[in-house]
Amino acid sequence: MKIDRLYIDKKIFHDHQIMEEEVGFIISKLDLDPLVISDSSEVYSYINGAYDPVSLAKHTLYITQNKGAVIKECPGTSEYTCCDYTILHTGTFCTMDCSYCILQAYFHPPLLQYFAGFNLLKKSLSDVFSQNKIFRIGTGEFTDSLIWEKISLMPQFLIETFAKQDNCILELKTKTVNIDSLLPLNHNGKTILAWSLNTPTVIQSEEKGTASLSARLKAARKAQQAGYKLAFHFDPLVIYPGCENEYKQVIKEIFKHVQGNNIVWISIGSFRFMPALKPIIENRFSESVICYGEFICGLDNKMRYFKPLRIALYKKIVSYIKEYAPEVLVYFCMEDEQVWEECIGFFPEEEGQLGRLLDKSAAFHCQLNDQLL
Amino acid sequence: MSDTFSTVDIKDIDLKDERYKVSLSKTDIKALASSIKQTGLVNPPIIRLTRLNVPKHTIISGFSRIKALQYNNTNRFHAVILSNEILEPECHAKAIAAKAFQRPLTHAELIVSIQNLINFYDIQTISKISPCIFNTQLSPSFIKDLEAMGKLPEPTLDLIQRGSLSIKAAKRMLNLSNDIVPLFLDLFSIIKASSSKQMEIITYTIETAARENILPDILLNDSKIQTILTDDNVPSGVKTNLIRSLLYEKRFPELSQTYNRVQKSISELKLGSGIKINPPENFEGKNYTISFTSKTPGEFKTRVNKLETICREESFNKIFST
Repeated sequence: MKIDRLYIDKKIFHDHQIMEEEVGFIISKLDLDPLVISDSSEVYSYINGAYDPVSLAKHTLYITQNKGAVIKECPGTSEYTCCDYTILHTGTFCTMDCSYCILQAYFHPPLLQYFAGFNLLKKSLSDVFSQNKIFRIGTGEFTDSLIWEKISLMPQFLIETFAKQDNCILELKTKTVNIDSLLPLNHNGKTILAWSLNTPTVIQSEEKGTASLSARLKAARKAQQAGYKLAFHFDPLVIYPGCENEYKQVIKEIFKHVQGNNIVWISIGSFRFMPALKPIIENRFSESVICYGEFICGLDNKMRYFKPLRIALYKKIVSYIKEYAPEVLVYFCMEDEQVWEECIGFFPEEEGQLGRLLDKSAAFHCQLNDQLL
Repeated sequence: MSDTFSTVDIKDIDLKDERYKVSLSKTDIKALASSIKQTGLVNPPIIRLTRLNVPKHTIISGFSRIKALQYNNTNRFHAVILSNEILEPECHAKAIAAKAFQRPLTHAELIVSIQNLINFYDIQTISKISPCIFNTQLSPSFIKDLEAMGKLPEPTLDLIQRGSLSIKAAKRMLNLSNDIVPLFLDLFSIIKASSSKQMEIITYTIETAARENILPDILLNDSKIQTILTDDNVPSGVKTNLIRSLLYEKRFPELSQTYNRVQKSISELKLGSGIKINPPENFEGKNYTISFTSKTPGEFKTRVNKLETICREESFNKIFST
């Protein structure tokens, strides 16, 4: 998706180091005259003034500083089991246009922000690197991890920074195939390249502007060849007639492209959404029927598929994965005891138990310091 | 030239010209006629001269009063005659203001009023002048919706005026295609549903049809629904609930089946009135609630014994296996 307008925070613009080592490169690649602003309200007004702020926000980039926490814990809920992920906050929103994307309703208004400043990242990360604890850190919670790979040096900076320590892994989660600049890097096994996957039907109807399934899997194969460990996320699973067979095909395709022993984990989660997202989807994606499944209000007040439907699909997907790679760690994102028990046969009941399982897999695959487990 | 207050001949009034009529409420002409006879014309109608060669006046405000005068066989009456210099939009504004400053306009009347004004003013202007005309501030988005509702087919206005179609449901229908709207208008002409039930009926139908890739009329023309609609022995409110339930079952088939299956198992236990079993809401949580009431120690023991008995029954276990 093309960026039509570029705003730069005045503080960033006058910081020679940031401009030289990071932002100057972005500007040269975008080939746009930046609008230098001292107050972010100018960007907000511009976005809010549009008939469809979400669409406009996808074409408007704001390069600024992260004024909040750079590293934060994933906001799980007590009703469903969380993986205790750590978020590295490098930007917000996304240039791709998935109908189901929660970010459309999460930010008011949505704003495509790139947080510049390697020094700030370095400082925040060094605090984490010095702890006697394993961290799984990802940048894909509030944005896609690799949307800026073609125009930014940040992915390279992060991968090389993580390569120098042994208690954290970096997971770069994407629906793009933007990995070319990452392939020659010395990653030291500490970066996991992860793809969100879905069926070609869902990708075509709901994931506008993303790479095709086959392109994503080819990219995963290239990443594997470059020595990267991999992860896959089946999230959101969408229930529609014939979806089981299509998901089965997707799983078959994964293992045609990559080896099971290079996969650190596969997560599974079905489509769930804040009620506020529904009218946004209906307005922006009038052809989409994704909200018209059998959704009920979950215990976290998000709409979720009726539980027996979730369980039926999960069971099949888990069994398909196990057919190809019985050892690969499969986990559910935000699910409850009944789902775990019925689909996998056990439930990580203790607080932090799922996190520890994932840490163990990360330590094993990425050669982290296993004394920290 | 300014407005004048003078006496006019009722035969000089063009009773067929209702272009300025705002009110859609049915006035009891007999009662009004009787009141005018008794107390006189308290509030004179407003009219304007529209044809100069054959003097004819068009009513701006006071349609019911003039009908009541006619009913009383009154030949001449006092009226405010607007100046000829007053332009068409101002006449509409006066007609609306005359009503709106007597009582709040109904939604249907608001729609009619906006339809009348929108030919002369843009939405922003109407919003700006609305306190002076409508006796209340109307936001541009509300005016836009009212304008769009005015374009919905017949009998939208009538249904809104009668309370058979809520403004919320009418707004929901703005997003539907022209061939679908009449289906709901027909339905709401027959049943009597609250606004929330109207919304549910529309939403279930539209969402199910979109998901199943079928036309909404296939759902609404379903034989079960048609049987309910045409059964004269079923009261209107009951019809609404039955149709809503049928549409809900189509919208949420698995959830409905599970719910019905669990309810069947619960009823097989013959719990009586003192014991209740409630599954978790939408079967999402883990906890089933079993509650009972008792007025006496004896009743308490009976309930406990009953609970002990049902624990051994197959239907009881079925309740927990959704």
